[in-house]
Amino acid sequence: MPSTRTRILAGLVVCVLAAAAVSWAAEADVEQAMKDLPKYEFGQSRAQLTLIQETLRAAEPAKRTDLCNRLAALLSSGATDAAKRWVCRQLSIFGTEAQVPQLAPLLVDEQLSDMARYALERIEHPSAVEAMRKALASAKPGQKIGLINSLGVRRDEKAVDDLVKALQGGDQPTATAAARALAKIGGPKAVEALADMRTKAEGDLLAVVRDAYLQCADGLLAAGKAAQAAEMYQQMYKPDLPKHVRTAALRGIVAAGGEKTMPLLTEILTGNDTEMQASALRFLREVAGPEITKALTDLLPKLPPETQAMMLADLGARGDPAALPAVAKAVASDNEAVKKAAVLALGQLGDASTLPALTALAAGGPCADEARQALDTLPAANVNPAMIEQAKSAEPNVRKEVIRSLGARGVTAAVPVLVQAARADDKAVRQEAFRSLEKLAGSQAVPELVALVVNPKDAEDRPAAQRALATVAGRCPEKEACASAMLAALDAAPADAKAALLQTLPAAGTDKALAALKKCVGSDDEKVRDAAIRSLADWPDPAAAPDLLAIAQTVEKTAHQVLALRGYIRLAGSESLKADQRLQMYKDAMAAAKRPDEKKQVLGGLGGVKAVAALEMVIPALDDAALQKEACAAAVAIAKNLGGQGKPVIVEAMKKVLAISKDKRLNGEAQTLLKKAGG
Amino acid sequence: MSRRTRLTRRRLLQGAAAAALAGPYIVSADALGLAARPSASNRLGIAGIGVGGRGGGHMRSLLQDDDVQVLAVCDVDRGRAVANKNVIEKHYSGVQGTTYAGCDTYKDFREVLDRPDVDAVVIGAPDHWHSLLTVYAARAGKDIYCEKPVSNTILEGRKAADAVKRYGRVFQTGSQERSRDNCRYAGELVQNGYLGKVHTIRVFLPKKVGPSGCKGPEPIPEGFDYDMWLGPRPWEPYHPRRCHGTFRWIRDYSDGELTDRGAHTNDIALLAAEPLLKGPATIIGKGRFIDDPLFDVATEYNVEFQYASGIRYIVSSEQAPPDVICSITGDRRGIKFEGDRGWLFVAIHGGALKADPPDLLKTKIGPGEIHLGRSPDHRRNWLDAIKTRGPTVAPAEDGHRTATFCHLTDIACWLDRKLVWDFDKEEFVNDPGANAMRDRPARSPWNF
Repeated sequence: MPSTRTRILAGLVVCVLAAAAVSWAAEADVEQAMKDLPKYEFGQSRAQLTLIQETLRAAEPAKRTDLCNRLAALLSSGATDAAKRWVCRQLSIFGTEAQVPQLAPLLVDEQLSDMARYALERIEHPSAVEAMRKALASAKPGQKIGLINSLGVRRDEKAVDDLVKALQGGDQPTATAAARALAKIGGPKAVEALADMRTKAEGDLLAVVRDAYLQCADGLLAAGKAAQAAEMYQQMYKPDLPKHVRTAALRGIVAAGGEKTMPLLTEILTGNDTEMQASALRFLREVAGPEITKALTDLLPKLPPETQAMMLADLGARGDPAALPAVAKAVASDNEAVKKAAVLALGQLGDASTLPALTALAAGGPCADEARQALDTLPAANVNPAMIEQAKSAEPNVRKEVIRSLGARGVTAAVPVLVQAARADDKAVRQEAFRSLEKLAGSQAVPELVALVVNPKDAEDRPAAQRALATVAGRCPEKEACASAMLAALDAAPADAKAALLQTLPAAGTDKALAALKKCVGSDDEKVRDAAIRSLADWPDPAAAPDLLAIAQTVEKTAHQVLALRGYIRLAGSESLKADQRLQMYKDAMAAAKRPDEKKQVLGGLGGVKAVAALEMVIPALDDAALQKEACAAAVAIAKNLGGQGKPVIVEAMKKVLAISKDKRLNGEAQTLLKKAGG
Repeated sequence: MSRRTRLTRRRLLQGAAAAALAGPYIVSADALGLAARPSASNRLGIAGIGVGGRGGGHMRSLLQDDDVQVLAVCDVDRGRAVANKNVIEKHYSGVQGTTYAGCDTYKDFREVLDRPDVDAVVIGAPDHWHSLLTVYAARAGKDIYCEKPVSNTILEGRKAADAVKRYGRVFQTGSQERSRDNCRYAGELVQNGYLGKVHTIRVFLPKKVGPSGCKGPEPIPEGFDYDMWLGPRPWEPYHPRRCHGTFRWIRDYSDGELTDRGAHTNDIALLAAEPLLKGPATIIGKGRFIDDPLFDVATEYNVEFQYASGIRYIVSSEQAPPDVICSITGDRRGIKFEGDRGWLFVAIHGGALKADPPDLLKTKIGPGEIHLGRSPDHRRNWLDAIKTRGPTVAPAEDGHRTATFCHLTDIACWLDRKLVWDFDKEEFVNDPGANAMRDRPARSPWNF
């Protein structure tokens, strides 16, 4: 009996042999792939190519070089062009200087020149660049352009003389490529050649030469040679040059700085070219520091109105409070565009001291909208407390604007003041107070909101108070507390107030609130009864369903019957109900429905039930001309989600749909479903 | 290659007063707001380059804008150019009450860019053309709307963004989700700390891609300039599934879903979390690439970024779990932000939100808090920016940042090893092999 040690050793040997076998098998696969590669044609499976590629990716450097050498050898063989192109792609990623000798001759090959460059351009070795440079002399024009492009990408300084010759030669496409390449390489010779060609080139070549010259300037700027770059940019900022070129030059001038910069900017900003002014301001924003704010605010009053407006927008965006005095002064401008721009900028820079000006403007006049926007965006920390103070006691026109803005700004600390304002003498102040309370109030304010519904300053305020209470109760998590406050006031409230309170109960949605609603359905007062039924129909969960069905089945007044039934049908769609519960509710609703509208609503709901029984319920409706459209849509929607169940029912339903529906899309779906169901 | 020089009314006038009339200029509110359609000289002249599905859709949308005149459409597929021309001319004929035949068609975009009456272009060509067209258009002084992703490689995108900046062009990335209120609101919730400290961002990007059915080359259709369609990418035989709607499953032209919906989803994630994502980041990606004679993009992926600021950002091909998605829309694609006080899910497309705690979605962002750029309509945001020379909601640098991020996920899956990315320098740290994948050599004669 072999010892344990022997068994372990034997096991290890087996594992090693198995691993070796797997490795030999994998190697054999790669060898086979290499053998088949020369015959590869486009359209064939690439599985073997992928195998070679994965092997290359995973290989150690020596093994990878060996494999690349074998691939490169194919380039001078009788392998297909498709195979050779694929080889070049691999050498582009995995190749080294070892394969340059095989790639170089292809640089002047009719079919493979571009692919040889595809590989050589990425091989990070001087021999690759040298091969491309040497090929220039014997390359055909199209090949030469490609070589020039690659030498530019590789920033081959040794090629500059050849490139300058190509730039100055008569062939436009070649000269264009040379200009681009010189732009990438840069250096004094390149700059000089491009400067010279700026005076000689025409058409497309001229545009490229100008661009190349600017790129050289960019290169100098990046290398810290700002003065030289600035000189070049100044040469490109000439009135006879296209505007976009001057824009590029201007950007460079601003970036390079220097003593000529501000005079030029002043000239532009006080001139008539609004597009250039906008560009100047944009470039200043990109590159300049806070000291520019002073220069701009000094300049502001001297500018024409349109430019003032642009600069004010820019000062606002810059966000430097040092600009506030100049901006505040501009608010007094006679020019409407300037005034509006200044008001908006105040909204980005201002503080509590700007409130009086803004609230006065917001109260009325041509800048009212801008002033409101500015009030809503004032950034400083002292603004909200100042607004709360003004909301207490300012003159009504100011008070209502401040109250509105407190709501827009989300200042929940203002709620107590807003509650007080909801009883102000001025109607507009009260209305804004309710709107802001609707946005801001929390559960603590509910008792006061209830009081405002029951006993508003003016009966006309009740709808706004009701709306605010309902919204607040709807978002408060403390539902029981909300409901308690509402119910506490309900019994003693007069009919109008009671009706309003009832309509807020669904927002609370508690059992006690529901019980109160149910009780009020039987009220003698028509207003109360009406409000109770409406609110029941809006109830948020299926607890109200039995009562709604009962109302729909028994009530005489059509409006109430319809409301109750619609509410019932809506609740039948609740995700909390099981499918069989929903089905029963739809069945009851269909039986209770007297009008097509509610029957259509039922069909719409049935469309969301994934059950064969739902489809069975829809089928009779397909025979009713008034319901066919909705029934067809419901039938298809249900059938799509039955997952193969109920095939006979699907067949019956889809045949009917196809016989009556005129909707092409629906019919297409019905056809597919019929086929799947075996019809 | 000959190119027609167009002599127009504007070009004549330009000769006389170039400085005053060149380029788009500020249109006063009066000219915009009046009930009557603005006069021809007050309308923005726009051309479409690449007018297939998405590009054609943009052309039709622009017809609704009274302050725009669609002057030309350019497509290497003649049929598409003509189809769009017919729609445009029929529309304007109806507007003016007489036959309008003024929409020109082109095959070569350079002829479009030569036109001085074209103020701006809409780029709807395939992904591998986006950056090159942007560079050309910026250099020609045109404002640009470019569909996402704005690039097909990282360095192409950098060149395009630099060209836009250099020439002060107004640029809008086709990241339409940025103009949805919900997406903006989600970003404001994140940046204002309502989720607490955000520790994880999950991007769910599920997608199924079927086989190409390619069995070999097919004849190039009449009227389709295939060579131009390929542009800077390597020559390969023509097959109908290489081009038009299915180009995006081929890595020569696109990164598949990683850039298709990835550009939308990651864009909103980056917009929302940008101040929190401080690099560099370690990236580990695993991907399965489709095995097909033509298609070769990643169809299953899991890429994890670990930022130096502590945030974990995961992009995967999984669907969002049922408990985080909005039950009304049911979208399983989107972004989940997880913080120590709750989480927030944003569905893409549409921006449906779900959060825990649910009341998070009732938060009102106050005036003193961080507010992201508001844009009620993505196209209108661009058009208005052209007139005011102001910023757009999805500028070039942002589009480049998003596209770069998407390309990183593709590179990480392809290389299948740990990478470290420096966001400021836009390079992999100590990894020449990975850095080589930031760009691709261009086919002659194309170059940036």
